[in-house]
Amino acid sequence: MMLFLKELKKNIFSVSFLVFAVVTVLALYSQGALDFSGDYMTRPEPGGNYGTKNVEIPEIVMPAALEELWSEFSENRYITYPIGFIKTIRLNERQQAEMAEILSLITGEDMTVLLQQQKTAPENGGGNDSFTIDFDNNGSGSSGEEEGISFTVQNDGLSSDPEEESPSPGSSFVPTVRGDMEYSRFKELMQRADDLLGGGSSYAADTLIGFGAVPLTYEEALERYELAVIRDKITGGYARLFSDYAGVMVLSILPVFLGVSMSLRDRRAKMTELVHVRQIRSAKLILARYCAVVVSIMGFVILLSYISNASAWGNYKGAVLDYLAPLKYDLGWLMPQVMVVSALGMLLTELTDSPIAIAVQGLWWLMDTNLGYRSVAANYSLLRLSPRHNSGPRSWFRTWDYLEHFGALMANRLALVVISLLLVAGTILIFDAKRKGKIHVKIRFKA
Amino acid sequence: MLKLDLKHNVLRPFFLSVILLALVPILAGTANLDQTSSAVPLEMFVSLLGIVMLTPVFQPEQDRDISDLIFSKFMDPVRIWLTRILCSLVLLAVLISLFSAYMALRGCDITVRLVSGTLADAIFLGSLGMAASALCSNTVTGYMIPLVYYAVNYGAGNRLGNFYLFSMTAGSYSPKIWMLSAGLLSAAGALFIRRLRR
Repeated sequence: MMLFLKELKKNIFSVSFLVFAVVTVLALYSQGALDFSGDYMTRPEPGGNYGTKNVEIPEIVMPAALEELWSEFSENRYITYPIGFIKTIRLNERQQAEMAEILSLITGEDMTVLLQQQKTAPENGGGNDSFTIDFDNNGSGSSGEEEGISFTVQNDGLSSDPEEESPSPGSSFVPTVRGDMEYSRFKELMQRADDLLGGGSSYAADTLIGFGAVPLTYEEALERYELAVIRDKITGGYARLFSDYAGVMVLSILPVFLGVSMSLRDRRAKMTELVHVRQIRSAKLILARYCAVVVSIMGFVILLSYISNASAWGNYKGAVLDYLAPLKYDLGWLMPQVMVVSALGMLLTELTDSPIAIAVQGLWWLMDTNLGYRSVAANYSLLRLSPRHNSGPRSWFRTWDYLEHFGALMANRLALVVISLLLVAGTILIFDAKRKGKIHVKIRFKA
Repeated sequence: MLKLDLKHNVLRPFFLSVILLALVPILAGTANLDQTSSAVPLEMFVSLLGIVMLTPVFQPEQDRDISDLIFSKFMDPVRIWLTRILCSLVLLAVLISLFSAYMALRGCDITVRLVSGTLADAIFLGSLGMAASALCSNTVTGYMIPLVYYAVNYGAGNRLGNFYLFSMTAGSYSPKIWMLSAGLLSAAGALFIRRLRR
């Protein structure tokens, strides 16, 4: 315990931690995640506009998906998002013929006719592919709108609003889904189209639901509101929103710096050999240091989460609030990723005696940040570092999505805890082997 | 001196940059893109090379013994750091140009403005790292600042005005002049601080 307290004190008073604290506050403040006083939830009134929801109704999904595929086929310019960033695909002649075959099976039109229609369509002018990356869709102003996509890469040239869509080049020919097409077969064919495009298109079987937007009814809106009040006790929703911001912007990357700094500290003070010859067990030393990193980060995060959550309490006078919600989310949602990122930092630093962990973690963060924005299930997938749930009070915190996928989220968080414990065990083994002279890392990086 | 410095201080970041560049085509589209779409891989991935190449410029002198030795010499250490910075900048420009050429060969609409805008971003991010590293005397912390600034750009977007890293993806090129100027100022500031700290 004494050793842990010593390491904790050293960590908290280090330059790295000071910079971490300042940068964390600035990053969260810049996103408005420390003050939710202006964002409050209201009870839906009859006759209002409650946004839309996505439902997999074959009669809605099939024509919409076909129209989109036909438009892209006509231009031979398919937009995919394999890891979140835009990827424009142009198919070669053989692949276009294969796509024509898929379209032919869906529409019942002759494949050669479809290819001919595509060739006579005017050349695409390039479109406007400028896009913005939106962390902040709770403030989008679309009251009550379904926010299944929490980290959106919006392509201005491919607006999802039908009213904004420009007519497709092949608009003289409008393909329709053949009358006897079964939905399961349609999904199969669309999945084939997605595979042909290399994945990440909107035609994948599990993302076809995106084509089925229907308006939300008053009763549904009311149900969602009540779910947020009863199950989340309101503060749970804000705590989730804070966790989303803190997880993706700060805690998926910054803990690695503290892990690396902690591991390089002995070298910096030229104490490595002195520490190696001490009697203390390797496991005890590494665990004390690891816990010091995790506890110092989590202590600060808990403080910020309460500052953030408390800013909204004044908006709900008389309501039943859960004052422990921030703590629950800090420990259940954020701590596993702090654990795994710090552990990775310590392991790679111990292994290489260099800050290579920063590059590795940076890459992981970059990929994770842009993964799985298409569905809630993808946002909570098993190896997701930072689950996304960017929904504020205007969309009733999307409590129903959270509850529906709670099992997946728990599996994900537990998986991260197990991985972090394995990484710590690996760090102990490496440290021990170095002490015993079994591993010698040529020191080149001067911390 | 140049050869020795290259060998000890520039080659490792250079190889790391090459690995990062090799990953870009896996992470983002690099074929058949118009000018605005081509800015995506360049601004969002390739500009990160600046952090890798420029942040560790003061790294060797963070060892107190080396620092004392360098400052005891007749030659002003600023010359050594400037040599390192120039080497890194040249390699940075070469890597960015080569990657842009690769994209052009794959049918992307690459212009000089895109390439220089990417270089401006890289210099800005790298010099932020240099400044943080000089200020804290710690390279690890030096990496933290530009990476967080990069992350903030994801969320803050256009609100950052002339300091929005991904402005070319929105079709705006003029902020790059600001980025370059701020980057050069920050690099000069970093040299000044490091010289004072001895």
